[in-house]
Amino acid sequence: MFASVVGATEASILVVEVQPGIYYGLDLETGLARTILFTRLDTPNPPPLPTTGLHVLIVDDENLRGSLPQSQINIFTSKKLADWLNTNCVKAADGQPAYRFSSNDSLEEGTPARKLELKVWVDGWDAVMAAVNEKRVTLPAWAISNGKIGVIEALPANVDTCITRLEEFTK
Amino acid sequence: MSELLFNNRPIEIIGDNNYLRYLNRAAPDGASLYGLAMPGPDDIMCQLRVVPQEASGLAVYDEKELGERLEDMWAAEATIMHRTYHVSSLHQNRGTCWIHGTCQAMGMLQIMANIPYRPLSPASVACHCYSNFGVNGGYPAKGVSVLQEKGACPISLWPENGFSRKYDTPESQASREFNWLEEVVIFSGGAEERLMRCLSAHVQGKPTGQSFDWWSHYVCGCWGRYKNGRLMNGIRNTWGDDGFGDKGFGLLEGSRMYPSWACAFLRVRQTPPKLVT
Repeated sequence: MFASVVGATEASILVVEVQPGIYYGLDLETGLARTILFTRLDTPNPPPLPTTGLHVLIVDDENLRGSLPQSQINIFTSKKLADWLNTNCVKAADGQPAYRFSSNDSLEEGTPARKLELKVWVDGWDAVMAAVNEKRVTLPAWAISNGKIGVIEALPANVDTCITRLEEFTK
Repeated sequence: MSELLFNNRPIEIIGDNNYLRYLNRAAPDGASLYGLAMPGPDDIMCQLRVVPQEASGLAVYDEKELGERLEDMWAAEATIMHRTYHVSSLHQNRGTCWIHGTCQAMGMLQIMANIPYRPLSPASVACHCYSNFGVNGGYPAKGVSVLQEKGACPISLWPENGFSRKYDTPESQASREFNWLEEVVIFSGGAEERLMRCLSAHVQGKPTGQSFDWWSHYVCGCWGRYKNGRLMNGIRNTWGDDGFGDKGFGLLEGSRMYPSWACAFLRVRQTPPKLVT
């Protein structure tokens, strides 16, 4: 049933990994599997923090954007991609379809933007940058989560490949 | 230049053979729509918080590569024009191009980041620039400096052309922190280098602010084309959706396309606006 037992918490919860990066808690006192779904950030390629519905966060190093192929730069301004995201992403707390284009230094600790930005994007940005800092992914990268599964991976090479990948999270 | 189309309509093009017709536009009440083209004196320029050109991270392409990238972007419907066409152009009714253009560019950055788009009020910035709001002209650099220092209000709280301090309420003041211009780079060099840097910024998804001496006008640059071996500088004017081009979008060619001063807007504060009613 479970892929592996990861460990136990002080609250007598046995943590089990049901999919890479996705964990449930098994309550040792009651013997019941409490569906405490959470994400560990110290595992290889952890998915973004759990969300409800499709969320997409794209992060790049703006100092390096100009060296990218134009087909990949187009992702940041593509009407086709924006239209797809507008249709398929859930609404975030600010009323926008839940996607953001961000940069590697836009939500650093201590910045006014970090204080004012929605928590879901700060958390997602932290997860992406942790993956970058641990050399598990290089920029440009994106984090995708549909509430059931999520990934942090390199940004695809062009708009059409982005959409094909995103559609896997809508099934 | 043969007709270029967008949405099956000819794109408005200003060139050396027709630029005179764009020099006498006025508001319905006769007010001039032209402001100052010069960026600003030294005491204003030194107030700007700019990223050095060399440290901006913006690549500058040669003409061949730039042309290829411009046309690739156009074919993919991935220009800033395509991405922001759905919102209306700002519509100045006085000589406030010097701040209207920058506010237009800030809105583009918000849209591309998918921050909720709230059109920003140039008047809300102008009130901190000049006692008369700069309605007869102003320095673009002054507007940029104030946007970096005080931010701007959405037009829901301060009308776009609301040249009155009655709009300077506690609510509008509180809204400013959500609409803040952060990184700006000023392009140095001669006219051709400025043009190349502007168009290079556009293909990297960064809008520009450009002054034109021949036009006494300052506009937002955001796209471009490369046709018949020649570059064309794409702008979004601030004369309203029906006052210029298709919702403000048009092209400059020939000697008219070289800006006398230009900057690129790299980042707005990435925050959602406070949900005010």
